[in-house]
Amino acid sequence: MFRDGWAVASKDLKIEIRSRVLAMQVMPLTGAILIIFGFALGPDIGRLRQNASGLIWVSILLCSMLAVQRSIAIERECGGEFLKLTGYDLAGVFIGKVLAVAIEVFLIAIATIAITSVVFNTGLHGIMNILVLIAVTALASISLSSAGIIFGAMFISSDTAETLLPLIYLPLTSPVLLAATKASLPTFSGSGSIKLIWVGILFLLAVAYFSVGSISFEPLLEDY
Amino acid sequence: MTSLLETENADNFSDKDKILLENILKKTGPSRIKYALGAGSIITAVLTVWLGLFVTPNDEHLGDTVRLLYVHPPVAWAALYLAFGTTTLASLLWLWPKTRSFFWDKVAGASAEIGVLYLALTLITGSIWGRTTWGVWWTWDARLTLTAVLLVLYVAYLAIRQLDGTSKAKATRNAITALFAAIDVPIVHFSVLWWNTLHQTASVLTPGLHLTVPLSMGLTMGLGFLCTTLIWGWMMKARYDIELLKAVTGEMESQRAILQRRSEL
Amino acid sequence: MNSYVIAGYLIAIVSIVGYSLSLILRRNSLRKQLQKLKNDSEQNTDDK
Repeated sequence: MFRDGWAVASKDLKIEIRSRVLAMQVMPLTGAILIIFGFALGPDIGRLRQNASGLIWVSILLCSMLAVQRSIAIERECGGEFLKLTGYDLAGVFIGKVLAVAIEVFLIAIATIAITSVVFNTGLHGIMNILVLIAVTALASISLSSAGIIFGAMFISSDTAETLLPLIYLPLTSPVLLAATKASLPTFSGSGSIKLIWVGILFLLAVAYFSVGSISFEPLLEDY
Repeated sequence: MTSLLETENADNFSDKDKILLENILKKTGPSRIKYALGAGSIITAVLTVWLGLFVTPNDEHLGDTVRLLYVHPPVAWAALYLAFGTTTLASLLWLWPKTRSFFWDKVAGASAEIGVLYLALTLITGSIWGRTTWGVWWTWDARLTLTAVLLVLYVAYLAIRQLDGTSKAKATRNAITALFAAIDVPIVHFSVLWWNTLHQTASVLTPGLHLTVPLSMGLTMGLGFLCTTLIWGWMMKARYDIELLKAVTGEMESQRAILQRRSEL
Repeated sequence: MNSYVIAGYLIAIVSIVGYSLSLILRRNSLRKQLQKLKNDSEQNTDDK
């Protein structure tokens, strides 16, 4: 199962590296979103830093949706069968798809944080904060990609996939957004101390989304 | 779905079909349980309103506003735990191969629709409460925000239920969406503990089951809970009947169309 | 009495009663439709 998962994930990542959509389109997009926020919220750098955590996570959320759509598009080109007929274990396929998207979301998050540290002048304030931030980002990536893969697969053959996916994906992942924002607020604003309960909540959310996703994937594909 | 009807002639039904239709008409017609639930709902609702508005005393700090407490927690409870809990359970029972039956899909949809109504009422009564006690209609308090998210999620669930597909694929899709939406319910539940914000924690009945308010207020609130539960039960039956009737009439009409088409050829 | 409280009660009552009525009406019209389909078929059988 895990070997299949790894095979699927590395296949997806190789396709992504070759097409360079992530590097050349999605990463610049997150920069564009942050700059728009900067315009909208005015030149006051203090206010931008105060709100940086929320802005960062909103842009990661929006860009993660694109990563999900990319990952689903690969399958759609192959007939939307999700490698069902190739002998791979379906649980493995799910793990692989989630892993690939989670790695992409993680990279998007790093790029977003790097851009903000330049344009919003946010620092990272200490090694402990950086470790917490890595944990937060990894956990959030798993939640986002689990929910994204399931609903991407659900609407894969629908004509209105472009509107249906955001309609369910954005509200569904907003608890992740909320918890991740709270967990990394002190790191970006430089005031207050980190409350580890948020990391705990993110962990529970990651477990919940991933396990609901893995029990859903097989029944979802069996009827298409 | 295997065909409900075995019609072979556009204008005639087989005897088996007639029995099936007879059964469905009987099932969705008047029945003792419907009258019992309906009467119970009306009696408890009238009592709750009468006790809540006219009999119970004013609170020394909150004044009249305390009377909203006989409505707000009962509808919130019925929405979050009763209605959405039923939707979640029914969805799991659909996904589990051994208990898979379209009955569960219909139950899940019916309960979610009632849950959306109750949750909207929860937000409205909560908002009125906020206006009178905190001075604002809405604050970005964690519980309020997450409850609003929950409402959007279940509205999206109801929208997804309307999408096309084979009935089996549809039911699976609905069940999976319901399970994902259900993740937000415990977050709403614990939000008052995790976030230290405006919305108060449960305070009428402490965890040790000690009543902290006068008995009449406690009883009225309990009656409110009973009332929303009975109304949910009555609505469930009615909403389920509608789903059943829709499924049969839809099936019959498509069957007729096919047969008509065939006789024309 | 506080008008906000009255408004809260009214909104709750009206929407619950309204939804219940809509359920009753929808169920009745569907039942009528089904009854009609059934009667039509019986009529046809009798004609033959």
